[in-house]
Amino acid sequence: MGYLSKNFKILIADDNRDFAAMLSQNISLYPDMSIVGIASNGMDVMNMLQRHKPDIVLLDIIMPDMDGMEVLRQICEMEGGPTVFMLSILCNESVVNQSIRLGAKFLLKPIDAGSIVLKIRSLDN
Amino acid sequence: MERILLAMKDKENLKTVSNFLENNFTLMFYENGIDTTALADLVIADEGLPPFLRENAARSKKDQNAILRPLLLIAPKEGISFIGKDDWMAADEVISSPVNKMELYTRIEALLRMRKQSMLLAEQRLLQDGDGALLANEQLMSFFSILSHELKTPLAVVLSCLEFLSVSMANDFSSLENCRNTLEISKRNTLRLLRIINNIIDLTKLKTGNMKAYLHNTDIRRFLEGVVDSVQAYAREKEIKLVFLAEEPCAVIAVDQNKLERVLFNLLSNALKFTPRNGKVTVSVGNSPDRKSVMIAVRDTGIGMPQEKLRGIFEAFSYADGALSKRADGCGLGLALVKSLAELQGWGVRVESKLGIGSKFCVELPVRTVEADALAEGSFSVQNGIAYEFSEID
Repeated sequence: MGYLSKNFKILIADDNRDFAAMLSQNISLYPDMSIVGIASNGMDVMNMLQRHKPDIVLLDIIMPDMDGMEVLRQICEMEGGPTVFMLSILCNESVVNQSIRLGAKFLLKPIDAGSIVLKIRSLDN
Repeated sequence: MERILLAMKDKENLKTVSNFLENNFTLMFYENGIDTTALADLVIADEGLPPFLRENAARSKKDQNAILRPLLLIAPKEGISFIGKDDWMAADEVISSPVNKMELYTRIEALLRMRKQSMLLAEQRLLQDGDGALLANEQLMSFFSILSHELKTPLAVVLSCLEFLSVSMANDFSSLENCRNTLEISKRNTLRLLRIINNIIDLTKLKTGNMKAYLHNTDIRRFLEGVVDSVQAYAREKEIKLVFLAEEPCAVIAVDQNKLERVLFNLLSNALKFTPRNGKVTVSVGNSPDRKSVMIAVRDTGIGMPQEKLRGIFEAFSYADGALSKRADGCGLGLALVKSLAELQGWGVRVESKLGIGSKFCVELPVRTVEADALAEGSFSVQNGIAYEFSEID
């Protein structure tokens, strides 16, 4: 019963088209996960957040025109906003600390979709 | 765990202190003559300091920017007042004998805190300094960060593709079309990775003087025409007009054809990437007025670059619009390679650009020929064709 009872709506924010497409495809293989959108820059992220109200955001730190950290800060100011997983190839200590302090989780790329799904499912609701 | 070097002559002191400290610190023991202070966060010694300790202490007290490596001196049993003047001068703190565990810990903790402080200060000072050496260090860090990022990005995509294929095959999920598409994506990214690696190897070879140039007398105009032709398909895909202009026959010059092709390819690749749909890229070639060199120009109607960014444009990993916020032509090595390849053969490379209007890259080839080689007709093939495949900007 309980394990797969919740459906998660996920927004992917990554400007690497191939990576975002593959991640979306892989996560969609799991029945309790659905991708509501793929954003490739900060503005798109904020717009899609309003429109789709996802539970989870997978956010890349480096994007054109808007710094990932800035986006994170804006998301954290939202009431009842989504849980954010920062996905990054680079592991800069201060960035990791900042993200965690803002309440985000931090995941290092490359990481497989299966692991991300497990982490999402094990979030305390 | 912090490392403490014990340089004590008194065996009893040594035994006591190491017993007190062994569970909370990594202990190093001074062996005759071997100076291991560089590895230690703190040094504990008793009277009769080995000379190297005294020298180290003296040296670091002179150097304002040195990071504090505290020296804790254990006084002789007779009392603190029996410490020699030199030892006093060298020590940062003194503790009486027999050593009390609480007092030892208190002193050590205070000294280690001071060390941490001095580390932070030194770091700040250096970062503000504009000191060439440290900036170079910072640039090196940044270079490796970017490098690591650019190498791992396509790799992450390929791993994703493999994950998809194995999960969908195991569960008999996906359509043939999805699989085909996934394979296409994975191939594209593998080639991109290959290209980046080739660029790095070539740049390194060039920078360390390990690259040879094999010269053939070449009809530059025909050669260029060949390169431009090989790129037409991609230009058409992007709906960019790619034009080749050559008003007159050009001189025959001895060049390493593979490298010339590489230079042109990189410049064309940039031009096409930074020019929007329906834009125009013009490749022109002509003799200089004095006929002593052949000038090649690659002009685009792209976004252009601000003047202040032009200066470092040929350096590895420089981006005209700011470091990591945007990634360009396969990690910013393209132009660095162009410059190094050009320098290898004595070619000049220049750039002009206007924001919003476009850029123009010029390569100047001084006329010279080699004996013996006949005109290299028909050798315009793209070397390692696969490695030079274009790919989308991320």
